Amino acid sequence: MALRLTAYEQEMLDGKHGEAKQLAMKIMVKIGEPLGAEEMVEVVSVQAMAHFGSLHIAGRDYLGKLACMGGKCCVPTTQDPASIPFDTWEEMGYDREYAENQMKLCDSIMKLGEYHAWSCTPYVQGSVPRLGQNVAWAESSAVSYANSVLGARTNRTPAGLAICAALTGRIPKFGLYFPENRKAQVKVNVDAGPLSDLDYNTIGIIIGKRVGNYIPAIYGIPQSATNDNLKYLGACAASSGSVALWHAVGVTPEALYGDPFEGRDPLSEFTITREMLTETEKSLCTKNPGEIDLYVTGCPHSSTQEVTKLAHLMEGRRVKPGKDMWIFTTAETNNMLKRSGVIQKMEAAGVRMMVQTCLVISPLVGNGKYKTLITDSGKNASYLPSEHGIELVYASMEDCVAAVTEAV
Amino acid sequence: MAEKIILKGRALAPGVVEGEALVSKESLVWSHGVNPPTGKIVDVRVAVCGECVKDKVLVYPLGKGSTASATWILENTRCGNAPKAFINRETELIILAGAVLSTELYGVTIPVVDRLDQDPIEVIETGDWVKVDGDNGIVEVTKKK
Repeated sequence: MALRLTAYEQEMLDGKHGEAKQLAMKIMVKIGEPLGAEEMVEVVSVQAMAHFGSLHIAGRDYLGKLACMGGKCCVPTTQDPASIPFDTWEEMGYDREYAENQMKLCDSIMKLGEYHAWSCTPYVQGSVPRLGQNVAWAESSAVSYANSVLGARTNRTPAGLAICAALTGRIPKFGLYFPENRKAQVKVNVDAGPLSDLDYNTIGIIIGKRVGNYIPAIYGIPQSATNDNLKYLGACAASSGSVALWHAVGVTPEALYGDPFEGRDPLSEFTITREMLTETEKSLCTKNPGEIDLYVTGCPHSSTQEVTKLAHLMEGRRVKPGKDMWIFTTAETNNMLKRSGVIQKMEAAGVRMMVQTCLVISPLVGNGKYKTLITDSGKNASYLPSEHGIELVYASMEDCVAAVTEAV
Repeated sequence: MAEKIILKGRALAPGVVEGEALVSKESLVWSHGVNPPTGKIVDVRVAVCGECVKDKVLVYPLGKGSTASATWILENTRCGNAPKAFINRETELIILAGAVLSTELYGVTIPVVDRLDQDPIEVIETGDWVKVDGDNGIVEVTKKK
């Protein structure tokens, strides 16, 4: 039951298509064979990683080596946010050596032919796969969205493996590439009345904690849920647990019609109530928050709709002296809203646009200025307190804006 | 003569090594959970926080957390602070990728074995001497006194 390669895949492994493809195939065969993969699948896109905060020197040298070997991506390839804001790192006080390491990674991905995307939301702009298409994505929140909301197929591809898929257009076939492995396993009922934007985050957090890496079918999500709502639900379930695929019955493509369990009994079942949401919201706040210094939003990256909503909430207001407000987003959203003047107005009111970067994977600059953060992202709430040793308050976008701004 | 226990499981990454066991009953997160320049576990949510993974046969239930974990393992290897071997109930792809990349890029062999016939978290204790045969999926445990 060995891993069978096509003639072209064997040629890549034998080095007939260059050293980089050979190394990439070698790594994938060494991973695929013991996992019982019998063949490779062709993938239509790759979400990779090239941020120094996670790749470190080893990852920088790895991508540098592949680039020197002449490696070129043969499918559309995007990557997670960078560990610095490219335009403002110097002014904001990021460490120079750290920034230079990020720049080296940037050079390598350009040589390798990746898009200059730097976003955790490649499904908004970059490479949008269709229902049933195979992709090899890293980034747990993007994996969750691709599998669940788009119905594309990917495992939780590790950072160093995604680039191998990009260089060869292949990945070992196992796990979620098989339709039979995509059926629901755990039944989750949401019975909490009308759902706010924040509720979708909290629901995701609860589901991730309860189901681990099983596949939940969620009942009670309305058709009117926005793509952003589903983005947060998935990102949160992937950060409090390892959920790579979930179905919202009547909402997501693989659970629009019929029974997501296909006649099998759920392994377990639970109901999310309003009380559970309230309790979990509280548990996501740290124990001793002080006065709020900074509002961070856009984890995963804020969409055009979200930045527009923030702009509406900011009308007639400005960021209070001594406080800051950072919006993490894509270059595309930032550029689009610059064309309509929205960004300029917010910047004039003291908001900082953090473009193509992410606080989860970069240092918190400011020399200890920021002690208590407020956020409307459940994923931020899961990661930031332990990562940056800060206090955190988890609240709705409206409450977050109110906490750091004042009427002009 | 100290007690010896033989466990059989799935061989995921090859190589034969032996060393002292470090057992965590909780799953470990590598990204931001283990500090590569020191090899120390820094995740305050786990009981083994503060322990060093360097040269240990690392035993824990599951891999979890970020898909960036593989490059965190790789950086530990570059810094000379990699564990000797991984033993899991169920190894996640991020662990296996970290081990394979360590071999391909730094020539460091880190055998990985999972799905053993007895629960490794119950059978193996921190401080036991463990031989891991990643070619055949065999784990030999010598209990500490």
